[in-house]
Amino acid sequence: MKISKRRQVLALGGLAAFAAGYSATAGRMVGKLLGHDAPKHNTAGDAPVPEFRVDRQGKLEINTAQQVSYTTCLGCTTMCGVRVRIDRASGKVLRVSGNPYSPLSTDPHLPMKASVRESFIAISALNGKGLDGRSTACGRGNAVAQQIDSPFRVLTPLKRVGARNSGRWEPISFEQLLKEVVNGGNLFGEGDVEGLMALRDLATPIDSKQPALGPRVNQVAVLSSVNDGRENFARRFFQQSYGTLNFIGHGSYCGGSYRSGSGALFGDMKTMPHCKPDFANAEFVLFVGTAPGQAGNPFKRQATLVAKARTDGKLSYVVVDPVLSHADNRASGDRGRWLPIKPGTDGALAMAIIRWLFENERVDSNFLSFPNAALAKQNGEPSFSNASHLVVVEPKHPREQRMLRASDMGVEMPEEQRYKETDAFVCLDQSGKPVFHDQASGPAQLFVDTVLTIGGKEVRVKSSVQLLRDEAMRLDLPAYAEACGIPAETLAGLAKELSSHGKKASVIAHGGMMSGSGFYNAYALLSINALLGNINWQGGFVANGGGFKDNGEGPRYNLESFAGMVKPSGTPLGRNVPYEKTAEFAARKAENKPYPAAAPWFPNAPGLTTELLPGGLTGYPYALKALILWSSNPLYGIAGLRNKIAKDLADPKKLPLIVSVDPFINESNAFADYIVPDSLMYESWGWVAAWNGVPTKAMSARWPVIAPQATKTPEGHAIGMETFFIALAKAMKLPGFGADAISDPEGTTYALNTPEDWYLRGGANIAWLGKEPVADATEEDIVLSGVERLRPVLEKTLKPDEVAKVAFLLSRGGRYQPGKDAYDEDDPRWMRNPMKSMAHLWNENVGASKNSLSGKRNNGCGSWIEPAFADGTPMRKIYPADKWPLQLVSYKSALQNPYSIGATRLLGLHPENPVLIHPDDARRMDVKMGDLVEIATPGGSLKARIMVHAGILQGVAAIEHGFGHRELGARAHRIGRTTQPKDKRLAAGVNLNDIGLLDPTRPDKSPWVDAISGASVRNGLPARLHRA
Amino acid sequence: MNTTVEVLGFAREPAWLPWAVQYFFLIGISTGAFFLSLPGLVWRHPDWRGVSRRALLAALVCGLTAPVALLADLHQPGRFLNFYLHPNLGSWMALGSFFIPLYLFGLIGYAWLCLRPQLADKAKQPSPIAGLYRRLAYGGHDNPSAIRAAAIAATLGAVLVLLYSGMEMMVVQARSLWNTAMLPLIFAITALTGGIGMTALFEALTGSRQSAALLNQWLARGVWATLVLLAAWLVLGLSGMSPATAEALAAMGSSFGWLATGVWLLGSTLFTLWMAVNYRNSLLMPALLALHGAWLIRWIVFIGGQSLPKMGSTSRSYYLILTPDSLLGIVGMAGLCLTLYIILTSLVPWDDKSSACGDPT
Repeated sequence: MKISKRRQVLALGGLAAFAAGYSATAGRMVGKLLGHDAPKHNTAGDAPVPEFRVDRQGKLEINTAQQVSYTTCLGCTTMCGVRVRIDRASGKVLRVSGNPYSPLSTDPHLPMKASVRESFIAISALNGKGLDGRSTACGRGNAVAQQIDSPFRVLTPLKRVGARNSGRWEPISFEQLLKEVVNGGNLFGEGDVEGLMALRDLATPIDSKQPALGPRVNQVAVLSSVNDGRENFARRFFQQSYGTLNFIGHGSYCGGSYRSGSGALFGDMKTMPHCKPDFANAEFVLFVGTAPGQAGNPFKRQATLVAKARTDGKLSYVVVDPVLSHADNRASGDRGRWLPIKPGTDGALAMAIIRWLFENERVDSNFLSFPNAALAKQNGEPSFSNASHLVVVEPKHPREQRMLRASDMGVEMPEEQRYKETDAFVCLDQSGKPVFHDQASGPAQLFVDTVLTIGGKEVRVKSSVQLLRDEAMRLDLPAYAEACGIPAETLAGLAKELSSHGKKASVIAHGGMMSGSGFYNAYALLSINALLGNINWQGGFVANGGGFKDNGEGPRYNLESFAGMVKPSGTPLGRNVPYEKTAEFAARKAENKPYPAAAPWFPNAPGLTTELLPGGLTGYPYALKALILWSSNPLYGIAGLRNKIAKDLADPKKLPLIVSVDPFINESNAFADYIVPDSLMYESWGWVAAWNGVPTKAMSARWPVIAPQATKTPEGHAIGMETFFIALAKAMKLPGFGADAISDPEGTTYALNTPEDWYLRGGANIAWLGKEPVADATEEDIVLSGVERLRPVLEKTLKPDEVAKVAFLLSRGGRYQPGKDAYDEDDPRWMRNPMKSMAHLWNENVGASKNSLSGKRNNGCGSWIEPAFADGTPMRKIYPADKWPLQLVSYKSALQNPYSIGATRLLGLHPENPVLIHPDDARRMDVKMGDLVEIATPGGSLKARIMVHAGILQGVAAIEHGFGHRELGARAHRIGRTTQPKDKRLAAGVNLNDIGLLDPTRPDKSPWVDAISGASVRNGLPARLHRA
Repeated sequence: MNTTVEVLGFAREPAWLPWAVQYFFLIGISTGAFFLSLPGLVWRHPDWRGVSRRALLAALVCGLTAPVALLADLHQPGRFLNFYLHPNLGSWMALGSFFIPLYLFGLIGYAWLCLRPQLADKAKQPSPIAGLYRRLAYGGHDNPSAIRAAAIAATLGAVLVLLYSGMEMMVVQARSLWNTAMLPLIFAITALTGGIGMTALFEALTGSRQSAALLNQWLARGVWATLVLLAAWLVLGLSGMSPATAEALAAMGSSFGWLATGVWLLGSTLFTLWMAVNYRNSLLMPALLALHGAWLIRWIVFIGGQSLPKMGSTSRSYYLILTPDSLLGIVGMAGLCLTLYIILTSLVPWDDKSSACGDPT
């Protein structure tokens, strides 16, 4: 055999090429043989070793190196029950998934009587149970546990060094913290600061000329975020014990307008009750400004139910929003549709639907005609409305726009009862005779526009439903279509669809309502439900099941009241009271110039964080002396607020003391004088009910399934909100804390010295509520669920018979009513936990109120008004479209929330928030996908990357909320001698609120808020955009 | 029309790498060439005698290299064992792990039986490895019935390989370009034209042109069949009879890249046909064009098919880069083919001067 040289070279060359090309493959083979990529575990691979094994016979085998505990997630405000896997040796959280007992994480959820062992087996692959109705945490819930070990956590009390917001701190002892915060003094070498002790003045009025403002203690304000199951404890301290009136959550910059609209419908503008569609049984749902399965609480449960209902059930739905959400996707097929709408014009859509329903006689007249609950129930309706109740519409009448009452008709009653609950409403019976609503024996007349002779005077009255109808008839469908950008035929089609499913269709809204006409948009939309008569019906519009009250005057302990309890009084700093009752109004009226007020007042709003800070810093109606920020970040969350107050907030003369309790340094508490560490996620205690969307009662438990990381108090407890407040109370000798602070029904008293003293007793109350107390946890439940670690403190704190019952709750992560209890025992077509409030088609409190700037009367029913500034001037009148061609809106993804940026696993999936614009707009503005642009509003400008996206309406630019952080790790603070790590990823993207608008019509030039609800306006901001 | 927008998009790496293209290309050519070897070596058809020998060489070169590429596509080659440790008879891919050995052992046995007389001849010549030849020749008998039996086994293996390799892709519903009954047929017919191309290439390398007309005749028939199948695929898609194909067409519709690819495929296929019909005596150009066609179809189906959105809306373009899993791998496999070709042609004579098996001279 002879091989030529040439062929030899060629063969060797070929071989060499092969060797090079196959090197990686060969390497993998050899690596395998050498065991290089051998997985750590045979089945789990490189993931943590499984927490337990369930064999084919259903036998459970526990991995004792891990603990599996049921507690509550805090990755957003939904408060889903979760299952947390912990490595016992390191105490680290390994994984987070769903709690099968919790309806927020599982559908259907396990009954409480299932043992912890059975719950573990239920989530396994045995008989496919673990996959059927799988118990899940969402992606964010899973990822945010990472924040527990974040290098940016505050773990020891900090005191600022140098100017506010300079990013420099010194760690101080708990004793020093207490001493300085309580006693004040020349704390920063900037002059004297009043401490909390001096500021707790319950006697001296803030202003002797305006005693209605209340005592000086009101100059201390507390801002919290959301009730994470601990708010009642904080309120006990700052309101009932310390005594300030000003304790406010985050509602006014979350979904405040929606809640206010709902509050108007259900007649309570302060607690603002609301409903959700019964997703599981609905046939048609109109989602407006909310994205089922993407955002809107409880988004994960909604996603499960909506996906099931559109697959196996009859549900189809339309999502109305300027921005496309996950809700309309290829999986939803024809069952889900996206309908883009111009920002802030949802009221036009709603009123068009209402008009069509009236014109085509598709409103539920039977339901509407029953003027009281009992009569409605007798006639097969589980709720009732004030549709037939009469409203005074006589111009100049002292009761103009108010409900006509029995006392108006001459019924004698004590003055303090007049116009209150017992003062009945009036309607006309079928013969046209006035009858009191609670005495009606049959259906009342619906459409009434007549003149009654009352007290010898002729008074024109209309029924509530007549007023709504008149309002709807103000414009025709083409005009509404023009306003909202949805064709008239589509509007009519939606109305027809809504009225074609009996009680099984509903309308729901949420965060998309945060526009300059948000309140009326929401009220109009939600009023459609009353017209459809779907409230409390299976498949209709249903109430939350609520929870079990932990902090009430409960069956085991009284956590509601205590000796020396303060009832805070005065004028709230958010000005959510009538301007007409203030001394300022009286003074101005005397000068014959009652309007405008120095800043708007919001008599029909709840506590307003949006207004508290601008007012408190400028001293209107009075000045703030101390601000407590507990897990609160208004500077990041409120559109335009940073522009308005950042300078003043940095000035200790404007606001002498800022104390924050927070596990992190955020955009707001970066201005604080002191930051006190707080427990985070799975380190905390708490009892919290589902926000909404769960028709059965659900109370999730939060308990420290891992040990808190913060440094300890001298008594050896981890520093946190509770231990700090207890120490403050003791240092100031305030009531309600320390020895004998808690009593039981037998009159025995107990100390409140630790968080456990409070939360475990709250748990005992929960365990004993309802028809009968919960069962006892077994030994095995306690061991398997990790409650074992806390057994000593349970036994030390609770009475012997309470230990096993509270352990029962902790071992199951809460108390949950069985899923089958969602519907009424007598009539399964009705809800068991109904919305008890009457549906108000006319809300007299809104209708009788006046705009405090213009003095014009507000409308008392759902209505379409153009987005407007505080005095009623339409936004587009001041910022016309030719100068500001775009409108900015905010939206949320399912991944990022305002405080999850530190979860870098999420950033791996979704590293920034490019601004979405429509391809047509991109062409017109000559920008391309990925371009860096400058976006300007009258409130400022920012540079952002754009994403050209067909899932958005033309003329709208959408910014996802949750990015654009300056803090939470985006800036490296210097603490003592160490500097925090730098992580540029955490500063990614932009925050729409940085360019929020200041309202040019407000005398105080504060951020733009809805004129009724006082809710921050972040949808429909006028803007322009050009390439940077 | 509704526009699909990906709210949360992922750029997905293709799971089927160019290794897969190479495997399907090589195993296809091998089976195609094997079929070409049958007329001359089994049926002893005089016109095919020479060309069938080159075909057998092509079948061997490509058949021996194909599994090497396939192993690389498993990412972790050791995983191939799992096909045998945990047989899954419900999966076309897993079934393939049984079809491939059937074909390859059949082919090798068939080749050996065909080559025994030559090996015996070689053993008679003075050579340091004459002893090896002797042992390999194992007597050196020409045994037509044994050859027929081995050919039947290898034919069964070849048919099953063509079937499984087409089916394992056709069943993927998420890949709109793959999910069509046309796919196994197109793969099979281009395997044949590829086999013709490789055989023609080897024929050209021997310097003989006498079978050019025969090869070009069959190449033209194969290309016609390919065109008919492509047209049928297009009709199924445009008419909506095949929703998957319609979806694939829609996804490709507005892309210039896809338009260019389509024009290229059609143009080169027509050019191949034109060459085969009008230059019946040329070998090299039709050979290269046929190989190009077989490669192009597989590249489009694999790499293009994976660039079409599977669950979202994002198309992802693939770029050849100089890494082992990409361009370097392709060069490497070409190198292996070259080396094998040289080794095989050095060991055994394949040209017509040497005595073909069954040749009485």
